[in-house]
Amino acid sequence: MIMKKYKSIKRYSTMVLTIILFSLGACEDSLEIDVRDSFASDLVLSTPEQVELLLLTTYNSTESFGAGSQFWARYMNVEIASFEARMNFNAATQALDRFNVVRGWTSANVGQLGQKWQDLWTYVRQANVFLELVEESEAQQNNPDEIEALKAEMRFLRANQYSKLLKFYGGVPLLTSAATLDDDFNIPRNSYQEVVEFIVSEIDEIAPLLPLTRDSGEFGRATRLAALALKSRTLLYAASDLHDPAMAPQSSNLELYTYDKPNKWQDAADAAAAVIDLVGDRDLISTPNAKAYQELFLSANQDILFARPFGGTVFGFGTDVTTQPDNAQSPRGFDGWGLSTPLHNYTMIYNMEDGNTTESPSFDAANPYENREMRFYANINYQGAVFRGRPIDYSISVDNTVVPDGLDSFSQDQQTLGNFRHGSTTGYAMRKFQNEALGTDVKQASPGRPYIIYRLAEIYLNYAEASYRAGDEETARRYVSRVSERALQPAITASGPELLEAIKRERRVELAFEGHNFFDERRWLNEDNLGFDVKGLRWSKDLNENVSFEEFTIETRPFDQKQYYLPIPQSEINRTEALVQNEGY
Amino acid sequence: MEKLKKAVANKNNLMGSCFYFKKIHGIWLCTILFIFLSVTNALAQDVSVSGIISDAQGPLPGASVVVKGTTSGAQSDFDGNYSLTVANGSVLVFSYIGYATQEITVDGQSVINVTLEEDASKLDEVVVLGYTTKKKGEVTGSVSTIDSKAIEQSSSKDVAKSLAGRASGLIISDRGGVPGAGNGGGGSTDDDATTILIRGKSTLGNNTPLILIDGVPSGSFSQLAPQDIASLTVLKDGSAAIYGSRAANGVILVTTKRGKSGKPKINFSHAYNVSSFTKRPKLMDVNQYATYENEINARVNGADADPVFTPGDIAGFPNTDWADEVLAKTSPESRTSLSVSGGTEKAKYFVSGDFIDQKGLYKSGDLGFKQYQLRSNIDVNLTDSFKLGVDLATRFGKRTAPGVNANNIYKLIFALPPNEIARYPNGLPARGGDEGNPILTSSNASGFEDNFTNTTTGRFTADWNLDKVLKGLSIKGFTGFRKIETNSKSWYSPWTFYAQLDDGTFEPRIGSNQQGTERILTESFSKFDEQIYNARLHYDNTFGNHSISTFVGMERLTNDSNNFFATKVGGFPDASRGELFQGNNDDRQSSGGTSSEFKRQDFFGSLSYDFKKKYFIDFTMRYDGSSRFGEGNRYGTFPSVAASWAIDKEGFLENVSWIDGLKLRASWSEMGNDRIGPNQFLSLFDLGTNTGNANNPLATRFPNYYVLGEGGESFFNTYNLSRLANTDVTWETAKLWNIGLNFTLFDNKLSGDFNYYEQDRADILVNRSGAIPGFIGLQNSQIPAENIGETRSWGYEFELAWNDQVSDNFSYNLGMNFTNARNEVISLPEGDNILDSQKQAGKPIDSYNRVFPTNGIFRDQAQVDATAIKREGTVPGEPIYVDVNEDGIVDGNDFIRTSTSNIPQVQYGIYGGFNYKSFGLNFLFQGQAEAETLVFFDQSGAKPEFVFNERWTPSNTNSIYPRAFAQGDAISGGQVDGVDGFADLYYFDASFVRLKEVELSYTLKSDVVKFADVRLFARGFNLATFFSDIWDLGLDPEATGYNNFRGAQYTPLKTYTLGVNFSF
Repeated sequence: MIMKKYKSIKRYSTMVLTIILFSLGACEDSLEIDVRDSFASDLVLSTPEQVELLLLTTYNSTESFGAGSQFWARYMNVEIASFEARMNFNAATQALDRFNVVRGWTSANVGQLGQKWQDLWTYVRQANVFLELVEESEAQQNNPDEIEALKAEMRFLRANQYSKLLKFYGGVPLLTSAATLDDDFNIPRNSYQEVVEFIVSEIDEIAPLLPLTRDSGEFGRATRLAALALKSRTLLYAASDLHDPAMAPQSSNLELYTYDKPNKWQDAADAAAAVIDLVGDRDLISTPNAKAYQELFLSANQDILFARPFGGTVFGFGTDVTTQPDNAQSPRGFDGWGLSTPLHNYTMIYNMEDGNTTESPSFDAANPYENREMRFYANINYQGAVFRGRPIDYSISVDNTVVPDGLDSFSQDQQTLGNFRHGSTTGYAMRKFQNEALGTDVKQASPGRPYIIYRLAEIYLNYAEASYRAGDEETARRYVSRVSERALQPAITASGPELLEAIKRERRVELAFEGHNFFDERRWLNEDNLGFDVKGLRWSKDLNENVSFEEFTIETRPFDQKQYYLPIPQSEINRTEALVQNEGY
Repeated sequence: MEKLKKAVANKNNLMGSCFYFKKIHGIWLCTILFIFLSVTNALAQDVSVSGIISDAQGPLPGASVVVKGTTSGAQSDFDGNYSLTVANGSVLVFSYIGYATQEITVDGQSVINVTLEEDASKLDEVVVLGYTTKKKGEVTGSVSTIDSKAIEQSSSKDVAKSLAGRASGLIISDRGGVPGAGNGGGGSTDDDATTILIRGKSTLGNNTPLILIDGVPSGSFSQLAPQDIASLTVLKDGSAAIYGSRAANGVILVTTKRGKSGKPKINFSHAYNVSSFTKRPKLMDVNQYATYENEINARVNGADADPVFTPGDIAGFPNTDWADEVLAKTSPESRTSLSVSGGTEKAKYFVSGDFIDQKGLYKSGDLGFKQYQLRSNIDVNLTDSFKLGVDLATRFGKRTAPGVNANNIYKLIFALPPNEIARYPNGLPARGGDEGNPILTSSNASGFEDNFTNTTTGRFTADWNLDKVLKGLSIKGFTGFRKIETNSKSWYSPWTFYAQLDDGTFEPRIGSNQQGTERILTESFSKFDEQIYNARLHYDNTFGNHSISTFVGMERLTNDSNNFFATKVGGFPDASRGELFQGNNDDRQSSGGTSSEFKRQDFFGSLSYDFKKKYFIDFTMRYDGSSRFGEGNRYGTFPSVAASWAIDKEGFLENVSWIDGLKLRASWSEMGNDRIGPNQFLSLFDLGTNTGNANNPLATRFPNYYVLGEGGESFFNTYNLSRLANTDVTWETAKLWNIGLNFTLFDNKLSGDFNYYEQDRADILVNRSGAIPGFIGLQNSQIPAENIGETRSWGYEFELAWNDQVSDNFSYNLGMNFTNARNEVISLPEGDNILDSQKQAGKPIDSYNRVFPTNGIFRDQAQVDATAIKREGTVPGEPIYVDVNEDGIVDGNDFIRTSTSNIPQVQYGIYGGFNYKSFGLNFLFQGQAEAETLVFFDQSGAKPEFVFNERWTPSNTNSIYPRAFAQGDAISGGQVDGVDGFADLYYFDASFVRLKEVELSYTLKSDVVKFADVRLFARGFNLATFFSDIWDLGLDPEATGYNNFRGAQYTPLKTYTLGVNFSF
């Protein structure tokens, strides 16, 4: 009996031992785990090919057709906050104002432009992290030259970010290293001039390290031309009245906004000239007609100095093809959204075909769209313009049971042709960037259409403006004429203030919807084009299908001096004592 | 510990191998082996005794008979027979769970028949605690148990939902959810359909309680078959401390049923339900809509502006109720369950099967859930002292949904105006809106999404009673596994709608939403694999007046997750279904996959001591390691102590007849929380893998890819720094104390339990994103968690129950429970210059932020004129904003953080029932208070009707809602001054009282129906709601919140059930 019991004890103790030892065996590999869902830095920094993949991420810092990643901001950029256009949605009852252009800005609120601050700085940090990591990396040790070139690209991207921060906010903290959690974040703003000087010195250092141009497969990567274009724009802006200590609208902390160099206009002119020299001082691509001009913006070409490339599948916000202009900006009748509608005020600065203004007798007030300059037809969609195979029709019928409302109007009778809330309020839509080869299916992709960031025409206009301000009217006339003549307008012969006005007009028209006007009007201190009555044309159709229009004021866009810059988000001020808020907020 | 080491060393020859394990666990396990291998004992025997143990109903199998003061004894067999040999004069102790123990002295008899009496005392009920069970009267901690009957009698298909109002300390909110939601796949503890909190929120981090099913951690128990549940225990204070590091949020222990020896018991039930939304959105009709839009127009463009809609327009409009077009009035559901249990003294079994079929409330019928589950719990007694258990449970769930997600469907319901055509008179569907016609998108016309979840859990337990070695000694352990496999196939297919042409004919057109005009197929697979090993050495014994119960143990858990997905866009030839090989091989195709590991290693021990069953004290200690933390920070120590005093056993109360039990309890414990993302202590890089958004896989604010080339032909997946490292990251700790009093009075008719508790959390893992300025350039996701948050929570709760058996024919019961759980943030990093009123510190966890206080609504122009500080352009009927920062203007900086959230601070249940002859009635009311819910609608379209009815108009100046306003309205809109935040008038009191459950049953005994007991029942769930402002607006108050179509979508259900149960 006792033996039997011991036998059973033995049997079960063996079993239990087995179970316990099994658990113990498992204990031996302690709590170490494999990291399988990401990469450790040694791999990422091992070869130039890997480092390049880390660099390319930061190219996402470049601008695109949308101002940000929030729902509405994906489809529109600052053109809706400039003299060019307004945000258009549900004209009848509720004017959405996603950039708070009408409502005005406060430190808590600049609408969806509020995301800019964080977006811009995220990429500054990416650049700084990159530059710190590749230093001393395995890739750097084995392939120093290739890594130097990649670093130069990253420094270009960082300088480009700082140029945008300057434009939106004035002087900002100049961070050239990536802060760690233990760092003091109470960092004051650097002066406007310090940031400009930083950009310029960076470009001067890296330009020689960058290739002059890239082959077609690397279109979209930084080049020496891109870097010098950035320098040209930066110095032109810095030299402008907005930043002139004597003219700046601010009354405190002037160093955050001003630039004070004796030869600033000559510096700006020289910076533009440096680009012009490199391209061989040539003519712009010629455009015999509006169609050819419109197509300049639909594919890569030699006048583009730097652009963000898009293919046939991946767009501004992932694979969302609607972030491309065909869907976002086509009129409602094409099932487009017509989100950025050009202002009637803006369309009136487009000249007549003969070079006269719309104030001149060449203009027929009853037929406003006849005999206008070529760029009007290339850039603007208007009542009656033939677009994607049919005339655009914004008109509302006096009796839509007899004569139907226009397909592109905000009539709710046209149930099946796009959302009536997308009918145009001003009576216009953007035609620039539209690829009509797609036909009427605007939800298709337009492969290969880049978003142009720097192009030669801008450099010519930079050169003209800087030369004029530096006292060289001759050069100014020559280069502004290069731009206007390409657009089949007569050469510009004006002088004095009229010449400057002509240069400004040329910028407004030539660089339409490319993200310039928002800043240009500011740096020119041109408050007439910042706060004003927004005009549109209201079209109606009688029972004989004859259309007529009346001009009307859609809204009054207010402007306050503080709006020369965006406010720094209040949450930033709350966290950082040293950070001075922009004046007026 | 040193002593143990020496002792172990003496047995070196036996156990030499142990010394390879220098770590503490090695020593513990060596100790276990040492103890049982070193001790022997002896036995003696004399007389043969046998008999039958029975209860009022007949023979009682499985009852135990033990010789007092020894370990020798026997169990009654199938027919209640027992036999054993004892020394003459020994005392035999007859016992069975739930029955009063009897002692009989052997005085030469050879036959002793015993009839055990059922023990009425609740205090002797057995409560399942961590790794042990105790009699209810001996529990020192704060514990609630939920009657398994209450769960079985619920109409909800979601076990978690049926717990609301059932126990004090539980805060449960039914948030609705599509059929099959809350499946807890992939080891996730998130439950989107139900919020389960024990004593409210107590941390800024993860607040979900630890849920263990038969000792194995489980993400969710929502889909468990109610008939399988034997008991459900909620550990709320130090009683949870034995689970140490993950127990700070409380623990829910679910125990499944096991077989008892006896004839096979068969239980079959079938229930048929009809469900509907408790409230379905009542939308504005076309007249109301047109009036509202005209009012907006007059506000925006001036009173003289032409109206948007003329009466003539309106007369010609269709009047579409989009909710009515999409949502069905009711949907059918059914549940069928079968279980068989029984066994002999050698082997017992409980096997069951359960099938649910639920249809969703889309009219299309293309939303639904089906689930099969099987369970088999087997117990085998290899010998009298060695038991094995083998449990296996498996569940197959399939959820089907349309190809467009619910968010999109609900957006259309609320955003399409009633004057859009849904269907033409000939029945053909119209365009709807930019994102389609919800009649089509809520059906398989837009494709489908099929989700399959297969969960298998298994457990192998060993229980070796070593009484023969040392009385009271036993070794217990289990190994368990959990495997969850999910796969989903999501097929988006543009649909066909019809356009009516000018000539009156209809032309088919292709409809699509932002996913585009091409067909998209995404397939994804994930696998979760978990193993758990547990070994314990228990020792329980009584020495005169002293009882001790102690155990030491270790547990090891490892899990491994894998997933991958692939998406292709375009190229699929068939609209109804695609396979990946058919799709286009261009840049839009994407695929990805990842895997991760998690490990824990825990050592624990517990010592319970009592003196005369009068003074109780429990110590527990836990030493836990988690792979969430880096080298050197992995282990944490979590001690706990609890004591109780049975006052009723004191001499001065012994003769007070109306007191049956009175007990004072107190506990203090330190627990932890490791539920953070993995690898926070490492700096890592992500390579672009198109995760994020299944509809648009590449869409992300800061992309990890770029396109190069003139034609954009080169697509690169690129690297990004995923997160900064915080090498110091370690445990969050909770210090909790609890004081409680429980009592049973008046012949056990009245019982009650009262608790007060406080909890301090420190070292909460939060990231400092609130204090790091944005210009540092860190995205929130790149900032690692640091041990820097502090919170405090406190509250009280009580339960009262009255049970009375008035006569053989009539019994009734009545009870209530009440919980008041509060918390506040003590500190967390959030910017130095921030206004106090905007700070989170001092406010409850998850309180609403960015709320703009108002003083109501401007009644008239005189009031507007008399108010100096107001938003520019304010007119009557608009909110009176408060200048919070007193800078003389009201703007986007004038927000506050409120002291409320959508988690109720007060929750209570009132229940009762009676049985009269064959009839039974049970009911449960559940209520909550001190919560607020956002109710906000501004999107142009078919807004709920109350927005119209309750708005300010010149004739309704004392309104709760502002005058008609458009989306993004600068003054009344959701974004005050463009800042994301709402005026406080859109936060409504979320209090309510709800008739949660009612059951009426009729039982036919087997003497009436020959073969079985038959129980017929009718039940209702969420039948009626009272005292709720939100309900009065036409919305369900328990939903998460309403922000246009966001937030609450598939809101809670009201269910009627008819069913039958056979047991034989």
